Amino acid sequence: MKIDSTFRIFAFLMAVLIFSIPFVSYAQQKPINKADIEAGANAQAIADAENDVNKTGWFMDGCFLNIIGVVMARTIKAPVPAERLVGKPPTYIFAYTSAYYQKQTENQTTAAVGIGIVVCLVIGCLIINDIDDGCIVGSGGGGSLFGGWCAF
Amino acid sequence: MPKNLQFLITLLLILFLTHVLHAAPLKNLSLDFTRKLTENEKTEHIVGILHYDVAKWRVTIEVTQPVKQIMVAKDNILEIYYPVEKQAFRFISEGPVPLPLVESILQATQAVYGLTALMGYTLDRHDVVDGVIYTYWDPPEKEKDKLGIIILGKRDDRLISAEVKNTEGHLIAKTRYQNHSKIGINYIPMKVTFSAYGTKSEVLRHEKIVYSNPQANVDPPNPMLNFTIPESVEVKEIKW
Repeated sequence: MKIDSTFRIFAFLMAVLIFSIPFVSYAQQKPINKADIEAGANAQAIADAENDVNKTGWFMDGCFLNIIGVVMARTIKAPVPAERLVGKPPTYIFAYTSAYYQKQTENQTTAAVGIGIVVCLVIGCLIINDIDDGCIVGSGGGGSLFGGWCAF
Repeated sequence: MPKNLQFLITLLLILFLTHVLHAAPLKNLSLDFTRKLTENEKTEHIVGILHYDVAKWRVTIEVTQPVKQIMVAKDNILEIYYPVEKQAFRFISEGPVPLPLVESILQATQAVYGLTALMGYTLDRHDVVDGVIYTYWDPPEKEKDKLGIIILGKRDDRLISAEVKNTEGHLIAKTRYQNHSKIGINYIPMKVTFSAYGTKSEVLRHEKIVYSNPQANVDPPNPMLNFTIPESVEVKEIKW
């Protein structure tokens, strides 16, 4: 049986196509390299730290302890739940814990400084305003948040 | 007749000893585990062996898949060692490190699942629905602005469910405990399914842990219970 050249070319192309499929599919797979692992760990750590940090608690500390609250927000770190690190490669562990603590400290400090101290300053200003008006010493007045005190 | 009596006494003695040994309190426990975790539309499978030393309050986790990893948690130190890469981390925290993957075992071995002694919760009320006793637990007074109630479901002396609600009463997490196995004097769930919910009741995280091949109070204890990182490996120490 004579095999013509068109058939040979067709068969060759088919063979190339068949053997190339696995390589094409391999090339399409997103390579899992160090940068990808670090990026994934960073994103996850930021999301987890957002959920984990008790902003209310740090706000209260910032409000009532002022600078001590800020220092605490800077220094006290809750440990990463160990379960989140089970089965993760070393690159992930390092990236995740670094990002987690950075975000945790950032959140705690923002809550303590940004909200706590500002609220305290506002309250302080109102008290000073009321003292200036003579409310605290009982000379009457009103129209402030401490108007109730002034009534006495 | 005396022969029969001797046989009967021996049989009863064996049965008694078997029962006593079987009901001995938990000293150490090793379990194979598989963990399937779905979060952010990604699913990961982790396979390994969990070793728990009850007296030392120490957990060693040998992960075999997807990476070779040995994790040791005790007191305020968490160590992670990679035998293939010869890399190690030591995290030192100010407070105690929560022991990984053993919550369900710890709960089962604690009176009222540790809610009172460990967390300061108090019993509010209880219901019985379809043979399940539901107990409702209030958080400690000073934590009521942050913590909501916990509802435990118990059937035939076995904890089968735990629900955690936020301060507004919305469900934020639910755990189901299944396939209990009597180990020592406790019923330990061999399958634990956990779901965490968002504000719109959407599932944020779903986790299933299946334990198998329990080995309790093995003597001599499994050497992994006392695993330490080889001295030749440089340990990256991180304090937090």
